Amino acid sequence: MTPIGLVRAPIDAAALLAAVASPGHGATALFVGTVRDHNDGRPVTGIEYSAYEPMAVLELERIAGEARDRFSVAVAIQHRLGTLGLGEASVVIAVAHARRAPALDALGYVVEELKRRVPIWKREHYADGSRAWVAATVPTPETITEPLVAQPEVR
Amino acid sequence: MTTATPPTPLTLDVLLFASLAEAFGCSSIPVALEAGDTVGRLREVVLADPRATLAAGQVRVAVNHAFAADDLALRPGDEIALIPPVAGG
Repeated sequence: MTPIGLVRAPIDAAALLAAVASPGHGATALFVGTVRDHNDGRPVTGIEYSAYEPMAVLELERIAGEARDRFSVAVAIQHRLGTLGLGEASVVIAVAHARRAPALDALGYVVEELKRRVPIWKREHYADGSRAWVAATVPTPETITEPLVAQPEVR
Repeated sequence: MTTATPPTPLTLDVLLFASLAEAFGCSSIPVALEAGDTVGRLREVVLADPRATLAAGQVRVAVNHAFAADDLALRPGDEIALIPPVAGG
């Protein structure tokens, strides 16, 4: 398994947990994003994910690198592409550290940066047969360079 | 009196994704620029196309797989992509 990457088959969360496991880690945080049955009041039947694949992989690797640098964590990220049904995992992120605070902070950082910067798009399929692109986030220079999760103040 | 040097044409293929690809009906378009033109100029030219459905503030430009600043000058051989609002996760 590639610890950071895009996949077309169901994501194995246990494999991501294994990828960040180490005897020195006392805390592992796991995020699983799944396809939800509604959005803005409309019944959703599935979501189709696509990506600018070479850049998306690089951007995932950059975010993982930033999380390692900022929080000294181990990171694994997999995002799925293709058409997913309700309840299927679109993204799984595992982060591990000796202690829980950096693990949880780093997990939040990776989730938010992924949503802001990684060139992945989704088109929702609705119960009435229609489809629509979901315009979630416009990446801006600010969101690319500024850390989203504030660093703890050193006193 | 100085003689103006005629601008050197620079045509670049620009990759399109998601709603932009759908609006243009294709996954890449050739864009006619001049040598020295920037990322900002490229975005202006593409979004001036009547098929474009997004405003400049909604579209970022990636050059060689990284987000690029508007003042970056484009070169032949650059891989250029227009990135509409992203929605991973």
